[in-house]
Amino acid sequence: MVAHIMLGLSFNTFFSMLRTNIINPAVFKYPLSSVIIKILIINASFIHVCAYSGHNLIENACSITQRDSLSRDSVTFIEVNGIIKNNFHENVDSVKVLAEINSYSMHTYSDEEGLFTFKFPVGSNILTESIHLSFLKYDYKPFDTNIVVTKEDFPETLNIILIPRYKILLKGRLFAGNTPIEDVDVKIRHLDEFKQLKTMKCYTDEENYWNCLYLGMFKTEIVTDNPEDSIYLSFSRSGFKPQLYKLRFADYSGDILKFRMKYADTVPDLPGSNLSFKLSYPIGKSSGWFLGLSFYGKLNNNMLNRFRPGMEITMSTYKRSVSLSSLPGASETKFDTVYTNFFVGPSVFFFLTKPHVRRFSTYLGSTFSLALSGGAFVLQPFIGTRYFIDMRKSVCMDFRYISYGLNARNYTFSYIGNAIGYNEKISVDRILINIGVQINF
Amino acid sequence: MFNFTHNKLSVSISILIIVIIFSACENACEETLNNELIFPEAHEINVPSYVYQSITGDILVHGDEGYKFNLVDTLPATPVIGWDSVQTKLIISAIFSQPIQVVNGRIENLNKIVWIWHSGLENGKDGWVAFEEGRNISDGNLDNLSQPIPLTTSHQYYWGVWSWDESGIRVRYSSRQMTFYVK
Repeated sequence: MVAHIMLGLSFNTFFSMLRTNIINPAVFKYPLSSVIIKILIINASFIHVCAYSGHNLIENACSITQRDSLSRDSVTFIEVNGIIKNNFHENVDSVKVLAEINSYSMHTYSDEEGLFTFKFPVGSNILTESIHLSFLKYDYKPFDTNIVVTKEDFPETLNIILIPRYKILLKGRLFAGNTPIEDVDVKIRHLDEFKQLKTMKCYTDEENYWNCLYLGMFKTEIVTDNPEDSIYLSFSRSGFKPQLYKLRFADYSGDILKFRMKYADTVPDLPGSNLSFKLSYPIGKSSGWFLGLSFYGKLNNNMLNRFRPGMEITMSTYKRSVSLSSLPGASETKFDTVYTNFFVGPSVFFFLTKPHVRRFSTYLGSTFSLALSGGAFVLQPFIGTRYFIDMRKSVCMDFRYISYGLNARNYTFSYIGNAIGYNEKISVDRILINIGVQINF
Repeated sequence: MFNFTHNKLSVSISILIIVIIFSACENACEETLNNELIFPEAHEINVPSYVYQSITGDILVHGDEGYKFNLVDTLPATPVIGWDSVQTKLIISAIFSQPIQVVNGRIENLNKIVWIWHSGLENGKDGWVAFEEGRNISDGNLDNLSQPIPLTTSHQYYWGVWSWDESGIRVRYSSRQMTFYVK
């Protein structure tokens, strides 16, 4: 009855219904294949023939790439069924099954249970037909086979075993020193396949926490047939030297690979201002601590971009040891006094080398300072060099000469009580080796 | 979440506690004056009562107890001076013919010193010095020392001990002024 109804429909409408599974086999009581065959026998010219799987969940895609020239009286259909598994006896879904019969080709996909089916027309005068089948899925090695079917049918179910390809999840982390670096361009090449990634930043995770667990990391999946294949990794980021690594597919153990980026020879986007803190450890007999805090800016003139004017506050301690004659026959005594002086004033220095050189950018300068106690003018010339430890921070070392006067306290021993004290003007001349840190912003 | 108000309060309390501790220390750590000592700003050198033998027999020196009870010991013309050692490099013991006068940490009447012993001399030890181990002094000059002459009899004398810090700048230890009478 349904067949009669269908006869009133155009063939195009009918086959579009078949494609979209409007006709459900559970509702369509008659054997579908026989209905189709009958229809085709009545009028088979210029028909789109479409395979129908018979399973609700199967996403079948079928096509006939070429329209045949079969005569309308000589066509019948043969159905081929099969199941696809891997060598671990697991059903494999979404495998593209490509069938080629003479001038026809059609394809379908396996369902979640690994099942596939397709039908193809054969001429009634042909007793046997050779079909070339190809099974394709990215994770598995391609499999090709030929089967021979007779006009009657192909009653057997094909059992296809696919061999998985080798697959790794390549993970790596990039460091500058011990600090992970974000936003590094990572290019991965395997055979003709290119992938371009960026290392991860910190982010706010689903639980609203600031998550830096994956900072500087990248990961990607790579599949191959040959474990001897090489994988090429290249890393690049502004301020770092580009780097290239190579590893064998089989050598990757699954661990997170650690790569250390090396800084480039120059600092990109060098900021003009810097704040530095300098310290000099007391070395020698008559010496003391030196502390310096300075700020330097940049002039808005390209001609003067090597000059850095600024301000500096320095503190110098001077330890003085004086021997004192005491009782006749007794040993001399010694007393130590530490004198602390503060200086403040304008300062300027000039880069002898290019300022954005990462290693040993040398400078020469002077601070024109005023002693806070006494108000004397003190010149502090210095020459130094700096070394960037990252993009913004540098360590610096400079030699500084400082000369200033101070009122020292002297004593004369007296056996009848406390020593007699008196003041003495002395001059302090020191050459200091300052070690410091510099923050550039 | 960071609680700024709470943190600020904690910092303020911490600073307050530190200020209180330091101010308490400043009060407690002030050097207390001991006007009983020859040098009031110094620490005390104890002079315990002691007995020594002389030709005339055992001699008792009351030391600090005699000072407290205004006892005047009667000693021979060559007494032995004793005190609790303070283990310093520079120490002096001296006998005065008049009470010792100290102004601004220095002895004024140095010309009244009749006998002296100090740690630069070869004989004697810190804490126990016989009269013969000291020297007579002329014009208060330590360079003019001579062999000691026994003290004048029927005369009252005063003695004391004082010592300096390591640098020799300040008198760090001092005894009380002891009084004795030479029979």
